[in-house]
This record gives sequence, structure tokens and C-alpha cells, in this order.
Amino acid sequence: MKTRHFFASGRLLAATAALAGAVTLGGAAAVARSQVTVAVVNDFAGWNPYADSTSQMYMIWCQTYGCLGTFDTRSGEYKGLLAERWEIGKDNPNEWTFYLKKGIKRQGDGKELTAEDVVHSLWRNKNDPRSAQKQNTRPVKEAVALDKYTVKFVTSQPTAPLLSFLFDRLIITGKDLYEKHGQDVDRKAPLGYGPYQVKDIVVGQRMVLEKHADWPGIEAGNPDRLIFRRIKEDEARVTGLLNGEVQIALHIPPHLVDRVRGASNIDLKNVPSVEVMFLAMNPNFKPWDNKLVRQAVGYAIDREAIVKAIFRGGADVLHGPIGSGQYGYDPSVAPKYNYDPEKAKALLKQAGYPDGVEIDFYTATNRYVNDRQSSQAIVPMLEAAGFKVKFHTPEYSTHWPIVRKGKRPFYYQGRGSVVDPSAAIAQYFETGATPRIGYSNPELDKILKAERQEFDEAKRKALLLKAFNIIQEDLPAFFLWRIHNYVGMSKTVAFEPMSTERIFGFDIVVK
Amino acid sequence: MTNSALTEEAILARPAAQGSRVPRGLRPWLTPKIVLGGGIVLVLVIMGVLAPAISPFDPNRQNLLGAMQAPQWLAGAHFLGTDHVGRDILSRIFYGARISLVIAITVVVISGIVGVGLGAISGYFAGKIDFAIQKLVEVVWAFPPLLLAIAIMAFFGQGLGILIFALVIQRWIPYCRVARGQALSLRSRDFVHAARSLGARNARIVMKHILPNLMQAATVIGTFAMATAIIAEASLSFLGLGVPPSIPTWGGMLADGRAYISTSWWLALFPGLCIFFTVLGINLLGDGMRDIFDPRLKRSGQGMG
Repeated sequence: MKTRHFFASGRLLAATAALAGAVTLGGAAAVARSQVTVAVVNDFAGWNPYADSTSQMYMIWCQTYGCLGTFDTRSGEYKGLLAERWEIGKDNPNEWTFYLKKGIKRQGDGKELTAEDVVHSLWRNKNDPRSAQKQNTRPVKEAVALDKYTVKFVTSQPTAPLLSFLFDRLIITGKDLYEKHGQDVDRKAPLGYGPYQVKDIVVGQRMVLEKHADWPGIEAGNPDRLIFRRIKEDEARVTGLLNGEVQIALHIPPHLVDRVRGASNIDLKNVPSVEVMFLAMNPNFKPWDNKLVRQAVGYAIDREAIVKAIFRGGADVLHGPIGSGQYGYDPSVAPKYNYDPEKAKALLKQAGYPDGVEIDFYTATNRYVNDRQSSQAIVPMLEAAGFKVKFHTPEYSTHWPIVRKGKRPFYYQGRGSVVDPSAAIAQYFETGATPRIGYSNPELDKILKAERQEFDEAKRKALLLKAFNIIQEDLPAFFLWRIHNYVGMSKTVAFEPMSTERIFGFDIVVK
Repeated sequence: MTNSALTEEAILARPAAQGSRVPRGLRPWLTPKIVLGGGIVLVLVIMGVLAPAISPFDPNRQNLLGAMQAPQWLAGAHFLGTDHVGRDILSRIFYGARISLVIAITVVVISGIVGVGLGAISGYFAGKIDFAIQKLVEVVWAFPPLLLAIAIMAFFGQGLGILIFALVIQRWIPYCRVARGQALSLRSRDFVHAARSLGARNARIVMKHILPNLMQAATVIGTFAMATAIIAEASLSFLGLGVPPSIPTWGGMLADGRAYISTSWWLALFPGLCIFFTVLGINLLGDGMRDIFDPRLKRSGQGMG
């Protein structure tokens, strides 16, 4: 009996060892497939690539479904992704021709990308019942497929900054798949023409992408699997980076920079940001209908003190909608709103509120670096000027839909990827573009229209400056600062971050 | 000799003297649990009531240039240091006690009145009224308490009144269940029959004979409910769903401090300790009171009954 037991247990041991070996081998195979996890802050909207309008989702859809191109802040040039090159009509500035790269195969079924897909994508951007991206294609009247690989966009007016509207903002999806599945297509066949394929989306948590090895330009060194994981808590994001759970972490807040810098396995890069932060004041609500009240906000806030204390110098104060490095910035323009609480008080009095006025101030939490903290510092400054502030800190997911409907009177907000400001300014300040601020000024509309039609750079910049001056005078939004983007990355990956915070799998190399 | 006589005298005299100093009725209350728990609660009450007088600074006064100062203890102006916008942490702790106390007491009193009232009616009248009230209890009881509160706060927005409502909406249930059980047994007791035979109306019987007999159990439930209310308030404030951020609360301080936990520990530690000791104190007090009021525990002589 004893011997049999011995053998039995011996067999068991061998089986266990074999199983363990198999697991290890499997593990080794899995390790051989490289994986990079990127910790981000914003939420993942869902499966429909047209249903939300956030910088982060454009970045992800652009590299999964695909987009015509993107602006490379490192080289300072537009770079084609699905488009090989593009040109403006010599005789008619309303016509833009895009030449698609040949031989781009769709993930899964290998169907080739054609001009018809681009035409369909424009249609879906404008007509999808859940589309939140119509503002990006507003200047475009129609798109026509000239041949299999050439598509012509016709604008209603000449639009010089058209690429800043369309590139990495018009998501390209397959026409045939939509015809087959209808509105269920994003769930049933999430197959695109980009370098990475969507494998899984868990709203609120993560998106898992897998490399499409046939994509032209993708290399063996690029990660096989790219995971975007939402870690909205700063401490958790940094801890995840330090212990190797994530390889790239965005938005490291200034007070944790030293902690990251001290780690031997992590590189830290300080990237100037092109995301402009502002306080939006919707003139459809009282007291924001009064320009003097809005201007009072401009004088009430000591931005330098907040940058020093809350951002520890890791932010640049804005004296207008944009700052240095962004298109159309003029350093010679004198700052209009310098901290002057007495003037703020006087303006409020002049506006008919000698005893102050009650306002509700909304800042969503864990969306932007030190959002709650910087707004906490703003509150007593507004109060010192005579505002009676009710400060609210809702969750971003409940706050954002209300902003998009134009129902928040006064809130802290950022607009990312502002390289050429044209699209961003139109999005927030042009009549009828989006209801987010609800501001309307025919004079500004006229200038913005003229600016888009102007192909001469010097003249266009002059027009943009005029638009900025109107915004600064009328102040539907008070521009605060641009927060430096500290990006932490493991030394196991090579990656050069961009100031637009776009992270593309083909830019990452696993060492 | 003199010495030993004195000692003897003292030994004989002291217990008697002590016994006479503490009134007989108070003696069962002098257990370690009640003394310690009560002591902590007393400190909390003093902190809350006297907050404006004992706080060295206005709890909302910011000083951006003096932000993130480590605890200075007795060496500087900020005993427990300052937070990320330069507010004095000690002052905020005092004012935080106030809000914890206000919320805890209000929630306990309102839910006690609602719960005991409905429980007494349910148990005394039995029948259809009992059925209806108990169905309501079951429906409300089916929701996870914090989730229900989060849903209410997310829907109605931040505010002290709404917070109290969100906490009360489920906290009256335990009172109601216990009160109903006791009222069911009380309604067939001799003194109730006697009152009825003397012509007393239902309302009078409930008010004069049923309710006073439910008070002890309600008091015990109330103390424990206070602790859970404080924790719930802190949790909701931590999630940014409690009272508006302009009112200093321990949960809100903890939420602010978590972003700095690895660099400036004092932001989160002190409010965390306050919540811990307050809940410990209230639970000890509740435990001690249950030992006194609950005869089943007395019989077993243990706290396990």
C-alpha cells in the first residue's frame, strides 16, 4: 500500500511539474508579446467612436479606427496617417483633395481602405444620432470619392485651418460594415484601419488595444498590446508607475514630481502643454449676462499665486486664449487682466451688485491636474471681490453632459490639443457651434469666418488676434493657465511625448 | 503607630467615602467602556460647541504662501500644520467636529422619531397598518444604505439638508423594527389592558404607555446609529458628495489630503484619526449602554448575547 501511495504521489508530482512547466511556457509566450499600459485620467465613453468629444478619445479612435492624420508637435508639422498627402485646389480654395495610402487593410477581414469609407465617415459624423463631433466637420459641405484612393472635401467657405478641424478628429470607419450592421456596428464589428485594434472596452476602467501587424509603418518594437487604463487618483497613478503596473503615466501632479524623479527605473519628462484652462461664464445665466461681472472675475483672481502654490511653478499663466508656441500667439500684447481685487469689487458694484452676488461654481474632480485644489484657491479670491460663491465639486461623468448641454453657468474647464486655435475658438465661442458656453457675438463670428478663409499667414494671424481681443474684452471665458504635462515612463519603453498628449502605439518602442 | 493608625483609618474610610460620593443611580454607569467612550464624546462635543472660541484661525482662511506647512506643535502658529491652500488644520478639525456632531445628532433624532413612532404604531395596532408599514420597511431595507445616499446626493446635489435627508431615509429602519417587536409584546401586557379598561384612547396608550417603554432600546440604537452616520457623512464628503466644500468636514479634509498622502502626511492623518476616535468613542459608549439596558446581556454576564 505504502509503495503504491509513493508511486501515486510521484505521478502526481510529475503531473504537477508538467503542468507548472506548461504554465511557465505559456507565461513566457505571453511575456514575449510585449505590453504597455498607459495610465490616463479621463473616462472611456463607450463603443461608438462618434459619441463623445474628448482629446483622449480622439487619440484612441484615431489609432484604432483610423484618421486622416495628426499634428506632430515634435516636428511642428501635420503628418498623414491614413492620408498620404493632401492639397488645396489651386483655382478653388473650397476644394481639398486627400490622397489615401494604398494597401491599408482592415483589421480582421483585410478589406482595403477606400475613398468611399472616408465619404461614409463624414456622413456618419454629421448624421449619427449620438454624434458629439459635428463641430469638427462644420466647415465641410460634402465629400466626393474621386477614385478608389482619392477623396475631395468641399468646404462651404474657404477654410485655411481645415486640417485642425479634420485631422485626428474625423474618425474613419468602414462603410460596408455600417451597411451590414447599422447602428450596432461598433459593438458587433469594431474593426478599423488604424494600427491598433479595439479588443475590449470597460467603461470607466480601461481600453485594450492589440497591434495590427500589417499596418504600414508599424514595427516589431511597437507594443503588441496597448492598454489605456483609467487611474484618476494621482497617488494611485504614480504608485502604479513606480511599481511597474503601468509603463507610461500622464498628468503627474507637481507635488509628486520629486517622488517620480527619485525612482531609478523611471524617466520623467516635462512637456509644455497646449491644453488651455479657463473659467467659462455662460451669458445665458445671471449674473454672467453682464460683461462687467465677467470682467470682475478676470481681476479677482491672482493666478500667479495659484501657479506658485498649487502648481509649484509647473504651469504658465495665460494672457489670452493661447500662449507661446501656439499658432497666432503675439508676445507683444500687454496682459489685460492683472490681479486687482479693488477693481474687481468696483466692477461688480458698477454692474449693479454693490452687495455682492451669489454664484455657483463647478469644478469636476480628478479630471485635470490639481483641479479641485486650484479651484479651492480661486473661491476665496472671488469672495474677496464680492461674489458669494457656492462651490461644487461633482464627478466629471455627471458634470460633463450638463456642460455639453450648455446648462452650467460657471465652471472650470480645459480645451486640449490647441495647436492652431481656430477650431477650439470656434467650438467654444462661435454662435451655434456648441452650447457649452452659449456665447454669441456677430462681430466675433464675422472675424472667425474671415480668419478661416484667409490663407495668407500674416493676415490670418492678425484676424486671430482681433478675435482674441474681442474674447478678452467680452470675457465669456477667463483664461487661466496651461499646466505642464509631466509624463512619467518606465525605462523599459522609449517614447517621446507630444504636447498634445497624443500617445500613439507606433510612437512607443519596447526596449 | 500614628502612621499605621492613619493608614488603617484611611483604608476603612475610603471605600465608604467614595461610595457616598457617587450617587447610587450612577454607579452602574461607571464602567470603563462608558467612561472612556463618554470621555471621547464629551471632548468631541466640547470641540464642536466651542469651535469658534478655541480655533486659532478661521477654518476657511487661505494663505497660499503658507501652504503645506508641517505640524509645528507648540513651536509655531499652526499646531497641526496647514493644508494645500494654507488653511489651519487644527481649526478645521474643530469645525469638522461641529459638522460631524450636527449631522450625527440630527440624523439620529429624526430617524429615531420616525422609526420609533412608526414602529410603535405598527406594533400596537398590528393588522393592516402593521402590514403596510412593514412592507415599506422591507422596500427601503432592500437598498444598500450608502448607495442609496450616493444616489440621492448625486441627484439633488450637495447640501446639508439633503445630506441629512439622504442619511435619515434608511436609518429609521432599525428603530422601527425593534420598536415594533417590543410594541407587539407590550400591547398585550396587563398595564395596557388596565389603561384600556379605564377608557384610555389608543393615542394616549401609545404616548403614555408604549413609547416610554421603547426609549431604552432606541437610545442604544441611537448611539450606534450616530457612529454610522458620522462614517457615512465622512464617506460621502470623501466622494465629494457631502456638504459643499466650503463647510469644513473631516471626510472632506481626508479627500483633500489623499492627493498628498506620500508627501504631506498630516493633511490626511489628523482628520482620519478624528473619525477613528470619534467612532470608537461612540461605539464604546453604545456598548456600555447596551450592557446596562439589555437584560438578556445581564443574565449571560457577557457582551456576546
